[in-house]
Amino acid sequence: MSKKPQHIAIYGKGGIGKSTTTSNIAAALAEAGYRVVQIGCDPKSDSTVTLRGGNYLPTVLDSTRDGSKVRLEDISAVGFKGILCVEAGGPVPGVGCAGRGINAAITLLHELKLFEEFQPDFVLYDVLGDVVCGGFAVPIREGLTDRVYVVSSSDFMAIYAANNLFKAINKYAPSGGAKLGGIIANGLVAPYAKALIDDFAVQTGTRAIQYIPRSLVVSQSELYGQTVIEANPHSEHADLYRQLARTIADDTDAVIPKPLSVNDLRNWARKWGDLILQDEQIAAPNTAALTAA
Amino acid sequence: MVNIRQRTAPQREKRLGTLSAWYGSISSLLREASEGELVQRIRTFAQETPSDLILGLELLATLRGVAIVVHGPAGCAAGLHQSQNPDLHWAVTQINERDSILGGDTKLRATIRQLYADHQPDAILIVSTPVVIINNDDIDSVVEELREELGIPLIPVFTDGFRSKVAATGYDVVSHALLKELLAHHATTHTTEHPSAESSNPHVTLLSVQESGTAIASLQALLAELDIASQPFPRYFDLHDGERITSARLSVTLDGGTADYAGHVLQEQLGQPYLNPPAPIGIAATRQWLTAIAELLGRQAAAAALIQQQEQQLASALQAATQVRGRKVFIHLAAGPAISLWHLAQEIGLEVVGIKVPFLDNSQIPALHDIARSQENLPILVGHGQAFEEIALLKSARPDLYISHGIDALPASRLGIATLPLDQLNILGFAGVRTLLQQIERRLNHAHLQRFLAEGENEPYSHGWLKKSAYWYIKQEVR
Repeated sequence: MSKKPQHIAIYGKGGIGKSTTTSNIAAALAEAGYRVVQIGCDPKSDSTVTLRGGNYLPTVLDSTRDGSKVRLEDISAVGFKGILCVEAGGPVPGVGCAGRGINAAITLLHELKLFEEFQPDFVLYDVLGDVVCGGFAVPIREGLTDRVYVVSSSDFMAIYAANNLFKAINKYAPSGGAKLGGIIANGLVAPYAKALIDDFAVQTGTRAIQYIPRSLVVSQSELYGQTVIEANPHSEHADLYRQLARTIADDTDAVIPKPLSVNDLRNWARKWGDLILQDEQIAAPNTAALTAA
Repeated sequence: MVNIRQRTAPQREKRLGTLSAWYGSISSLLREASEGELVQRIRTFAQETPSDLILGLELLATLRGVAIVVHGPAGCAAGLHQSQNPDLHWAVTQINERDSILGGDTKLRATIRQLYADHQPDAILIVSTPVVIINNDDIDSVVEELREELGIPLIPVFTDGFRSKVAATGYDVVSHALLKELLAHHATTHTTEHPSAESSNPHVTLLSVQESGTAIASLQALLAELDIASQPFPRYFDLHDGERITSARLSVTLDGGTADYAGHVLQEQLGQPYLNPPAPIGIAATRQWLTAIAELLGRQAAAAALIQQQEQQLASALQAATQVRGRKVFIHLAAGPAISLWHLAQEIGLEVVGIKVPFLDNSQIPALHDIARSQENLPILVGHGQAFEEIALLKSARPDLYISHGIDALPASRLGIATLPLDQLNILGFAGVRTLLQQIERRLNHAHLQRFLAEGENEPYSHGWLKKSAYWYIKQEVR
């Protein structure tokens, strides 16, 4: 009997750890016995590299270049614990239109009946950076995905990118687009980081579903070309990712976020700037007080 | 606002304050423009609107010795199918969805090579289209690479189809592209100054974007009587005449302004005098046009004698044209020719009951004031297409004759109005006056086709549509 897979899109600013987070979620879900597909929606096509031991995988768009008929096995690789890895691909830097590429790649995957053939429980879309144009919003449009998660650190530019994503969700959700599952707080270092992200979540009517501190374990696993789940399965971080995967699998609550206007976001950030400064001056960090601010 | 170093020409509305939507009397138009600038309007509904790409291709199709590659989907080259130029070779890269994602440079390269291999043109123009402009396809590097390989000029023409509301921007874009090439060539081959002003056989550039070949040839013949040689640009430009364009003694428009772009550039870059007299349609305008050129070239006496002789010859024809006197005409032409034709109508005793122009530039305001002094209530409709607006105007103006280019005459024909399509006629210069007189008489007496059409049940718009204000969609932009 065919089951309905959950389609999950994961967004966030470039370099924030989207691919690392997505791959670890995929690995944790697979480890828990689910059938998982991970689709990298980025012309760099390096989303699934830690799941498949760094082996070469032609991208969906690469394989359409010569005009020949494309088969599912040509554009997918089976990685860690049976995860099906796909890279949408895109033009070489500086030419063409990567946004349209994502659109076309996802259309092709549907034509190839990927989901009917593979029968996944979860499909994870790892989407390039900011929502810079309509093409990158494709995974959250037209009911393609069930929920969206955004990966963000406590840096302002990451929050800014998250807020932009919220605008896109807000625009598309009324016409059947995906809703927001929550924020995945990643790469946390500063003592105020958790409080800042929590406050942003409150301001925008959403929630943080997991907090992942910066860690050498993550860096080391990546250097081995593996996920944390595979390289350091007994580490604290592996458990954090497992917990995150469970939340995503079991807690299907999702909302339409209320993005801040440019001015409100600027004022909100300034307020936090002031608080952090005060906190440094009294040399006694009290992040609980900051959250209440 | 013209900078030849820029990638392409600026939008016409930015450069010349071009107005492309308006309806009202000429005096109300000028009241709004009392500060010297036309007040902009927008159309909130457009039945049809040509783009810079369409007009650019139409102009490019008249060039000699070149081939054209349209870089875009096949439909973007549709304008070239109607080309009357038997020597024109062209191809379209026919990019598809995959090219729009991955970039179309491979196809562009292959198309240019193939076109060159098949026809060995002296130059290839690469025309961009909306898709490749949005995608930012890198036309420049393909041009750079193949220019060396093929050893001929490869000239990118950056039309885009959406940047400007005024399709005539396409004329500027074509002029810009050609001049960029000509001036670069000139800079490498001419390190000395321009040819001597004392040259015994001066030659001038006739700036044209819309005139027919016969009309241009007729003006060339007129100038030849004053020992002035001439070559057209950019319309009918022959690549082998490139040096003649850069070494010309002056450039002069044939249309009172639409072809102005090249004149400004040649003046700024080479110090070449640029003249923009009224379009040489009718006796007075032709006199002004010829005198302006003769003065700059020191041929005043010869010109005055020629003008006197021609005017004497025309005098009897004008006197004999009693049949046309008092008849009502409607003019639908570009602004420059329309303004000159209004003056010709005064010369031969026709009453102009309305004018439609595709657009107006700020530079045409003084010429409009000349008309307003005699006919302040003359209705003016500004726009491309919008046949229902025109039908409403024609129904109230009730002209006997409608003067335009061929396809534009359709709405008037359906209303049973005699039409005079100018496409294949020479209406320029003194010879043009004779032609117009003959044709106007003939058309007024032979409107059988129009009467037949008017009897049919072929009203293109419903009664309800025409009953509401036809000019409803012309709005002042709220910022």
